[in-house]
Amino acid sequence: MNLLIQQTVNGLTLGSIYCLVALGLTLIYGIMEVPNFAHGHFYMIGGYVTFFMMTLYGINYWVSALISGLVLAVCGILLERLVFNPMRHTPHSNQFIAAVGAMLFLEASARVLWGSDFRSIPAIYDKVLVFGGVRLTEQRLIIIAGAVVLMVVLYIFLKHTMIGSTIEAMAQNRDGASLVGIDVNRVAMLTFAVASILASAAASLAGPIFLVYPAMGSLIIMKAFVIIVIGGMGSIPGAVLGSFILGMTESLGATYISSSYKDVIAFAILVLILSLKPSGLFAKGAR
Amino acid sequence: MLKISGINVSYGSYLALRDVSIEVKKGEFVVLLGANGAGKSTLFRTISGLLKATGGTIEFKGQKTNQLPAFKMVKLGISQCLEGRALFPYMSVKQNLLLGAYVRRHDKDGMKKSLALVYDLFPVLKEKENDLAGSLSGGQQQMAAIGRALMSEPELLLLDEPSVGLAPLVVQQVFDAVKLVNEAGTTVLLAEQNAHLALKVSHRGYVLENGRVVMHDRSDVLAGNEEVRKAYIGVSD
Repeated sequence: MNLLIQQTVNGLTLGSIYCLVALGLTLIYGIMEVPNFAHGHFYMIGGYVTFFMMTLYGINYWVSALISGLVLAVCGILLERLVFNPMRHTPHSNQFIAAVGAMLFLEASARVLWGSDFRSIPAIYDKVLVFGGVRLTEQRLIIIAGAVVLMVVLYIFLKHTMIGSTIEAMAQNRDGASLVGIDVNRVAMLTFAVASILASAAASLAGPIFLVYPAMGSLIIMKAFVIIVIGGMGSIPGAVLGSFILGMTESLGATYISSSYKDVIAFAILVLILSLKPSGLFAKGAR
Repeated sequence: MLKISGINVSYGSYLALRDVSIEVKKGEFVVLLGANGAGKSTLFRTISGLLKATGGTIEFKGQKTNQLPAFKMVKLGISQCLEGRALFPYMSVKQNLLLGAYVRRHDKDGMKKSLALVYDLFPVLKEKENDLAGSLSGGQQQMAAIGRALMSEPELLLLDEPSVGLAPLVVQQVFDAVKLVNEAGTTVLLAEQNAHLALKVSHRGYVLENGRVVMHDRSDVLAGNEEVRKAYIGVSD
């Protein structure tokens, strides 16, 4: 029983990280209609920025995470301006290739600049809390709480502010958005900034437990992509649900089946859900 | 107010509008008649900045607007209802209407007033304000689209075929509402195939065929014109 509770919390931790990354990916997909494969690498850069802020400059963990968020917001806007905006009238396949190109560029740059070593963001919340027989580190609880807070903030921003709702307006009808006076270029930049901040927050939260290394982006983008396919491309509730489905099954599957099948389980779930609901759980048009 | 002089618009090598000139004066209700493919929607999309003209000029309130992007036209005072309505289907009716006032989002009181006016004009929108726009019937969606366009308090309202796919009774209702809007001071340019009703409510009309203006006159004169009757109203009428 204790093992089950322990693994459930681990699943929630994993799901929280996936969720922050997948939400950004699905937001960008909503306005661009192309999955931004470089998004996972923003997660990686976010991890590095937080790591260096703490280790090189000795800045407080939370302040480092905040700086990382700002740096990544700028990176997101630059990626949109320099890569995707000039290509917005080209076929989707071109943008697709550009996204993969940006991804390879970012990973290679990280290797050149920072080496391929695994690093770990210094853990300041490493106390172990014991509830009954269940042992949890503080950082895991911080990850879950942090993700919940960010999701609530994102929800309020998208649903209850005029600026936030322009992102959804543009995703739902681009011409309609122009015709009410929304500058679609500004919305595209805003979306990339918000998505990049979420990715960096995920990395800052995860960094003390999961490691920071150049290939971490490739691993998480595969997962995030599976999640938004499961959830329905562009759907926000789908991304949240998909993240926790994946996090839980990976965690429980690793415990009760075999940890070597952990990544197979993710794709087995994908095949299963897509064979039952080919357009994902919350497909557009069926929401 | 709106002066279009000799514009050409092409899709690739296909010339959709040739040398089109149209003028709309302040307070007028002008109708643009034409069959499918005559170029009505192209003209509208060009006025609102979604398409760019390859020649000629568009002036709004004395200012040349050819090269402005669509979102700036809304600030200048032109609001357009696209054919197909272009609503935000997964947002509530109220959210759609509020986004219509995006360009004056800092004027909260003005937004409230406009919202009340739209609900007055189309009471059914008030009833359905919390429903998703995509779940409304065609007529209600058209009302929501017109309502959204009015939320920016436009000086010129462009309506692209609001009658498409609607039951005759609903069409009548929509036209009556547009007439009220015009009488309250908003200039209206309406594109229609339904000439019978459109000519009844409008002051002047242009007839567009194959991308050219072939006729323009007062609406009552056009309604009496043999060719117009044959082509757009039906001879038996």
